[in-house]
Amino acid sequence: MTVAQELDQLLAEALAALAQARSAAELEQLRVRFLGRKSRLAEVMKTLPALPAEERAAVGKRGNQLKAALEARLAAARETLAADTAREPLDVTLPGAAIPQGWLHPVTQTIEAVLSLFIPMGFEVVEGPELELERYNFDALNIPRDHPSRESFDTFFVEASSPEPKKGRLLLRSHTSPVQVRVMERRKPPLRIVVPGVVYRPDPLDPSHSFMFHQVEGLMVDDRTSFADLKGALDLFLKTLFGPRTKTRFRPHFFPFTEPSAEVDIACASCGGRGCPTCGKKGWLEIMGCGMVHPNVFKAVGYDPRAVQGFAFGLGVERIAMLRHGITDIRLFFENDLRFLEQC
Amino acid sequence: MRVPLEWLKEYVAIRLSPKALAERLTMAGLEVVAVETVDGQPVLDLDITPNRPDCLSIIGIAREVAVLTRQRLTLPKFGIRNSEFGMGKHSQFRTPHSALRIRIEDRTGCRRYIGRLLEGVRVGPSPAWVQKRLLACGARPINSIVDSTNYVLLERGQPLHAFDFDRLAEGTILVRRAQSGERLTTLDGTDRALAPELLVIADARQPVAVAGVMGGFGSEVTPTTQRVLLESAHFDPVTVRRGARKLGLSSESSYRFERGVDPLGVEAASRRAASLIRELAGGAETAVRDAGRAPEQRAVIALEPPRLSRWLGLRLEPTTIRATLAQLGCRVASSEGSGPWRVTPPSFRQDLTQAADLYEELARVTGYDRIPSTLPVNPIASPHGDGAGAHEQLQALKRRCAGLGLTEAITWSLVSEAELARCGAASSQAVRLVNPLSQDHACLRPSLLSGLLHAVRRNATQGTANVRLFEVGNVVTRQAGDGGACEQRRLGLILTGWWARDWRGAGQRCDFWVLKGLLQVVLGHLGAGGTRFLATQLPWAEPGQAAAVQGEGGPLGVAGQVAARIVQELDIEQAVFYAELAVEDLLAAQRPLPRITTPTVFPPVKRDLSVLVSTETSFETVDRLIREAAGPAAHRVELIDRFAKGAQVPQGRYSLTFSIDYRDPSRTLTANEVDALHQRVGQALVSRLGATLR
Repeated sequence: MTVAQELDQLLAEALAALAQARSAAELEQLRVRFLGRKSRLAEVMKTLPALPAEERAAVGKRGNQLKAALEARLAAARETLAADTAREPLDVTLPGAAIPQGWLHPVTQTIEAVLSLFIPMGFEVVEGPELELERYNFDALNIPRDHPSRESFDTFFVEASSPEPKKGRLLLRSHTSPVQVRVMERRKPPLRIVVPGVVYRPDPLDPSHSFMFHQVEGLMVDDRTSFADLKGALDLFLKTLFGPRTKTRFRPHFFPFTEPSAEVDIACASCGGRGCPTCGKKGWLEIMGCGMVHPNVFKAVGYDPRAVQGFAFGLGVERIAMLRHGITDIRLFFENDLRFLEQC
Repeated sequence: MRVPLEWLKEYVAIRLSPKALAERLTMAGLEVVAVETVDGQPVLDLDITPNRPDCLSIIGIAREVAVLTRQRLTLPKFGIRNSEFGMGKHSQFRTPHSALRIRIEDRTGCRRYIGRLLEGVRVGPSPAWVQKRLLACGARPINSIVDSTNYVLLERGQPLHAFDFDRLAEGTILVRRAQSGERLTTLDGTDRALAPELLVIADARQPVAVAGVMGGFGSEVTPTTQRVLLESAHFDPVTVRRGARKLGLSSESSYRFERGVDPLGVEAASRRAASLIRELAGGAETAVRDAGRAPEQRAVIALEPPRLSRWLGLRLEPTTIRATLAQLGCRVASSEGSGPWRVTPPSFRQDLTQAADLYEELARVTGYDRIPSTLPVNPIASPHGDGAGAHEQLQALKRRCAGLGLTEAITWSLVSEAELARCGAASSQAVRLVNPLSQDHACLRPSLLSGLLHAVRRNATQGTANVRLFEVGNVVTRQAGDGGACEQRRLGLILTGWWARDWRGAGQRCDFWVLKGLLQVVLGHLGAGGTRFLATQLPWAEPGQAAAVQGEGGPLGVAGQVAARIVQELDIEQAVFYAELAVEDLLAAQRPLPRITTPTVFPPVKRDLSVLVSTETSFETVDRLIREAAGPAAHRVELIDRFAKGAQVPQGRYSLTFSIDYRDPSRTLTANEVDALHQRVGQALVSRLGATLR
């Protein structure tokens, strides 16, 4: 029997066996027997180099054909078997596969919610450094050294040499407002920017204080934006964030870098303004600070304070997130307990 | 600032209920934080902002109430008994028997100093009405003299001090800077070293008070005091603030001086206190010295009503503006017709210096609720693209990470030195805070590792064993050489436990390969081309289990298994994998939009390739050689199997199996062509890497 004949016989034998196979395991056994490394076919193919040239080509070709034919039949047989199995009904109530899923931090989600309301009003998102210079954190914002107005902005100073000693010492910014100054210094009005970022103040940790938290700052400067525009823009913002029936009020306050300055309150949703533990019995919740940019700030950045005007605002992200989600302890944001994070 | 309503009513009629008055004050910028009841009398507790020192007194609040409720202000009358001495405003009258001498040596620190000598006083307790008011305001009654000065401080906001005149050497008052080595025991009983920059009140020998901050123990008024020197002065805010801070001391006096006291009030308060002392403790005034300068005229502020309207978005009638400013105590120079108005603010409103200050006053008194709400209608300028894209990229990165199954963490940027040491960071590398709150948060993190490790630990102790977190945050490292600090944005990934597992049994534990797979997706997302992973040693990683991530432009980050030592120290009972990438430049990079080509319709020809190579040869070397030898026809080269053990694997070698798709974009490749190509690939591996084909 020539090698070619032997191969033909092998094929017939294999096809017959395949027709009888009733399970995946049997199919696998047949694959090993006829196509595996120790199969007759494999042996034949190994002897190829030793054969005379003419025979080598013929046998090689025959061998490859056999292999292809068998593989095709095996695949078909597997499919048929699988289709049979598939007809067995599934318990569709079994859990689905475990698909890894991730969540964005509530602070990130809140920042996005806030930014997404200002971006359509033409505001650009800009960021700035957390390591700041005194000039940007204080002086240019009309917060002079040795002035009591600095008291509301206790600050962490950093043991590192200042890159620009003329602009004071290095510190961890206590608010996002320095970015206003940085942007105004390098650009001319009109400007509309929103600035998200981390800020630091030396407040010991407790349920409502943290030495590290997030702010979003806004600035709109041109030749006509007024306090009335500030009221309109923030009222719209708060109604979009907290619901169309949200009541807001603007309460005079003091910030060194704005004038007039205001704190914005919303009517407490828990008690409808009657006063409850959530709002400290005031009926109102303080939400953000704002005001018309102080002319001294314009002077500090080289703008002509007679030609430009506009507003600035700032809000604490954790505070907004706490109100939106009913979170009662600010420290939860930084513990990174998945049972907390996965609820957002 | 605590304000008993019955006291307030002495100066202004109040028709509102305490609650309504509190509301009105709050909505005018004087926030009433509480309405309390003391002895059955309502007391308002106000939070006075630093710009309004004029409201740190009952009369100051009364002035505001008068403006806000359009009432008249009635100031207390008191006898000016010293007229018998012919006292003028700045006279330097000296009675023959009086030894009182006052000299201001430091004119920067002290603008004016009025001293009154009151003789024959009988120190005793104050009458009940004085004590009641002091207590309602939160001040402790001491004796009739001290109570008088405190009472006038509360009434008018002018800090005063009473010395026992007989304990002042040579009856002399000098206002000067302290000399080095001088000490003073202050009224609180603390013996203090006085630094030379401190402004002090001294007698002929030594300091007897820290000016504007606190008096000295040695010269305090006692029950046996018979002669009192009453001080009413105007000290420089910055000098007082620096002094108070230097001493770590704050008092009702320093609080007011720091914020600014009415320069015109110095004299009236002095006379008022002398009159009250006479009333409460008897005695007679025998000498008055008034040293220093009279207050300067206030500068005029130019006010343009059209600009005011433009600033506020509210048109106010000129008559309203004029009336409101007048109520606030401003003088408005008539300017009929055009041109700015000339407004002179009152002496007690030192905070009013420019037009914007007046805008605020007008808005505040008018009521912010009467200013309309309008939406800005001015044209939108085209954004300058000033880094605006970077934030979008950042958010996209975070969403991508969450989409990959990682949850976002935010950890403290401030960490402890011990924690840094644990994670193998040299303490010289970390930047410290000058004034940390605690040692737990004393250093700026040079890496996100310690924070994320603690997040894993936190979850582990709470029974959550499978943790997959990412964080995007800034780190600060010390700059080599110049002592500066460098801030950089990083992405950290941390994994432990099962990556995915379900009832079908085939689970996947977190390991280096899951970590690397995530990094590859993230790096692709960030557009980092040509990144490579190079074996490396890291201070925090298990030896032989870490890689440096190399980008085309330099190092991008690190990845590896956290050292067992660190993990054990944190009581984490399973392997933890961590990676950190420097993402700042990648996020900021402007990336061109990709060109998108039409996928070819010609079918691929698949071939498998199994080789044995030396364990010295990395996968990357083999993979590269295959791609190089096959050229562009190798459309896809995928490693489908790797093993290093087994009968077929000789010592010092390991097996790799690749699946390769050969494809030509313009035609169908024939089997012969592919066979030839595939053989060439095999031969290249044999000849250049000494591989054995299996």
